[in-house]
Amino acid sequence: MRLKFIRIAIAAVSFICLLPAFFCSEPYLPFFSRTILSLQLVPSIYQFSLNPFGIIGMGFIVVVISSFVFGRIYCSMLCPLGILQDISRFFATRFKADKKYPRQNPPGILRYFILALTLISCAAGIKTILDFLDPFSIFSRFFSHTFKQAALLINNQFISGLEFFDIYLFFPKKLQIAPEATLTVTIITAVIIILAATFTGRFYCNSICPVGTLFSLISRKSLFQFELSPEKCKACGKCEAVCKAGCIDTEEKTINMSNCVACFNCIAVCRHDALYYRLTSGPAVQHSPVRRDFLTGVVAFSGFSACLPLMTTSALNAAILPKNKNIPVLPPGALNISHFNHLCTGCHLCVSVCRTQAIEPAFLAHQFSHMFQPGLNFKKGQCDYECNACGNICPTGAIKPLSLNEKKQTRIGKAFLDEKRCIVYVKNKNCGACGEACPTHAIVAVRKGKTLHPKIREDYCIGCGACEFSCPTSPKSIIITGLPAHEKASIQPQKNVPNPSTDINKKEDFPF
Amino acid sequence: MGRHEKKGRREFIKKSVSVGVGAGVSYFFSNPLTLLSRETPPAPPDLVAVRNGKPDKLFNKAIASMGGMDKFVKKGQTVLVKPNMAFPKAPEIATNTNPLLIKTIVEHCFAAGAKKVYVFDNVLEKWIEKAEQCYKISGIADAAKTAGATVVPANHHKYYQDIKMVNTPTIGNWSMVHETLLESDVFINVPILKQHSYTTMSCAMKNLMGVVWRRWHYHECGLDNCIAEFCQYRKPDLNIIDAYRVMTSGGPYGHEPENNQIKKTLLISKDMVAADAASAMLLGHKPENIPYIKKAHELGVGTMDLSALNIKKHVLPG
Repeated sequence: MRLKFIRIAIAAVSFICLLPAFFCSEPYLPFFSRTILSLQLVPSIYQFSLNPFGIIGMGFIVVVISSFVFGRIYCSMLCPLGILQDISRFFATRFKADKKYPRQNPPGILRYFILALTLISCAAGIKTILDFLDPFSIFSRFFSHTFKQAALLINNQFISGLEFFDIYLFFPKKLQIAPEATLTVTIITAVIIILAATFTGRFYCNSICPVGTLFSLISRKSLFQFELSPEKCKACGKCEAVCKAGCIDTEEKTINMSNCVACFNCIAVCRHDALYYRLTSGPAVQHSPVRRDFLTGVVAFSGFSACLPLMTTSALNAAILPKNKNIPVLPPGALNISHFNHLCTGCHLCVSVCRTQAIEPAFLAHQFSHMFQPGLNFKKGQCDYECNACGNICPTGAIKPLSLNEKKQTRIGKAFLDEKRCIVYVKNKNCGACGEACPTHAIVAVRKGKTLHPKIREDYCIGCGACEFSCPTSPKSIIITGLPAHEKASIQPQKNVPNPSTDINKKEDFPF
Repeated sequence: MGRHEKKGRREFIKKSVSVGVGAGVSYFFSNPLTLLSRETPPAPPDLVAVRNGKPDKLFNKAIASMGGMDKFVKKGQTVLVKPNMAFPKAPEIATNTNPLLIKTIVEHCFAAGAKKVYVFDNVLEKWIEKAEQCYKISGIADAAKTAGATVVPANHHKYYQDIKMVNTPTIGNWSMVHETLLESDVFINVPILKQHSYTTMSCAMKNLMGVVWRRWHYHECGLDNCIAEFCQYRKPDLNIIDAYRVMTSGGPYGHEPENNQIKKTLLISKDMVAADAASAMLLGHKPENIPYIKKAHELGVGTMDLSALNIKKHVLPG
């Protein structure tokens, strides 16, 4: 009973500690959020492939070692998609009388086939399957586009109520509704998984999820095992009824450790003290030969970690990129399109953290093999000059964290002024919307007669989109085009001007 | 009675009567209506200019010269004090109105009996983190709240209401203004004077852009005309020009903070065109060369001809 409580407590803590990452809009994530984020398996493996010697990439190693010791505790205590399934099941049992899981068929070979396909495609440089099936990314997209927006809605309503009484202590936050394709695919995927979990147990985790399958290869021979005592077991069936993975067979008196997600529901409910979770002492009670599966697990993980660096040099992936496609504008820190494409899983944490909503959660901003990877859309917002939050939150390293000064010199795109559309050039009227918004003074005013014409000095332009966003014409007269590789922009030389001049001459009269 | 005494008495009567008549006549001429009705106070000057002091001292002198704040704010009224705080820049950069000046103005409003004082600005970059920074870094939100004002947000269209516009061909026949403008009895406009890279200068009339929601519409249709036309909608009861620190280039944002001049000046006028004309001259421009000043003068919003105005100038001892 205590073990189940510990599982629930740890799961609750790790879930709650993760949530600030979705509501944050500053570059500073609380350390506990960052810890949970770095323990997510797939993002951590990406970080590792980017920098094998960095501390951020060590997260997955910690998790893998823990699974060699404890079994699939990741699936019950760290994986947010797993925890969400458990939460959904908890609420469903409040409303449904039936707390028993129906009899589950053991998962077939589908999951091994999916895992093999994932690894082979990664080796070929196509990470689409991995990104689509990664449980963290599925959860992250789902939460960002549904629960987070609902929370903001309630928050804004509450604030409107306060404003009615002239209380202006809090500020509302704009909702961000994802484009239809993103919303549809994200919601349908997550809902299928959650419904399956609510009514039939951890279907996704044991039949599809490549992370779950990888762990299942290891947990067969974990140091701690669940054991069923043949002498004490009375075959009452209570444990089978609460097992979300269908791994207990009270007739054969066996437990299939490869399916067990270490939730401890069984131990909590057993009245005859027949179930144990302990260091294995006696002969192993397993279905399949142990050594083969252990070796398979080790090979799989090694192969997995080795594959990812291969992707950065994959010729096949380079060949898929269409020649004439417009390159989307990438967030500062993405370095270049190849780096970004090869590391981004489309989790949309950067979308969530972007305070101007410039990063758009498009479905196919990049080509189909990089679905869900975002790009900047300056019709929605500009890139805030004083912000470097996206690099700080990216869990895979696709967006490298830049210091604010580095970010201010990073050119992510180039501005082009269409003089055939610009009001100043066409109608000879003053406008200046682009110039007054430009944070680097790349746009200067050139006087021609009575009007002041905007002119772009390319050296100082960082492609932040402030001009495009503020341009009042439709379609825009000034637009940013993406760059395959980010560049370093020049900065304005500091003027050597003395202290502000004082103009107090008592004898001097006013000019009027 | 001797002839000498009769003459003396006559003289005395003549003198006292003439003095009395002279006093009565002069009294009559100086204040003819006082004989018939209650006392009416003299009209305030058209423009007051004060120099050489800190913003609060400058304002105290200027408002006294205008006849006192209670001429403009009556007991129980709601006042809107509209500063320029559209950018997240500190007071030293001279992008936004001086916070000490706003604090002093709000204090005067309450001292004159105001029930409520609103302060806001429709900032340029409207996402909430930036809008909060504008209010905070400018120092105006804190200064205003200390004085008792209600600082309200303006970065979302829900705070604005539709209004009809007349005689505004460039803007069109409708606009959206902040709800507090419609609620307030008194409208006090407190811009900072600065160079503007695209309208030459930004002052009283340009500051009114911060009470409308659709600022980009002005840029789209012709900035100068829109600025001038909107001033017909509701003229501020008072325009207080902050020229304590004046940005002379790099405006309106102020990415180059070195280009400020400490002018230690403050202007007050009921006429925003006059205020802008005087401010233009402070920057070294002729008013008729600033397109929106000329347009506003033509529309009759006010006058840019300073020679026709009653101007009071003061230089503080410092």
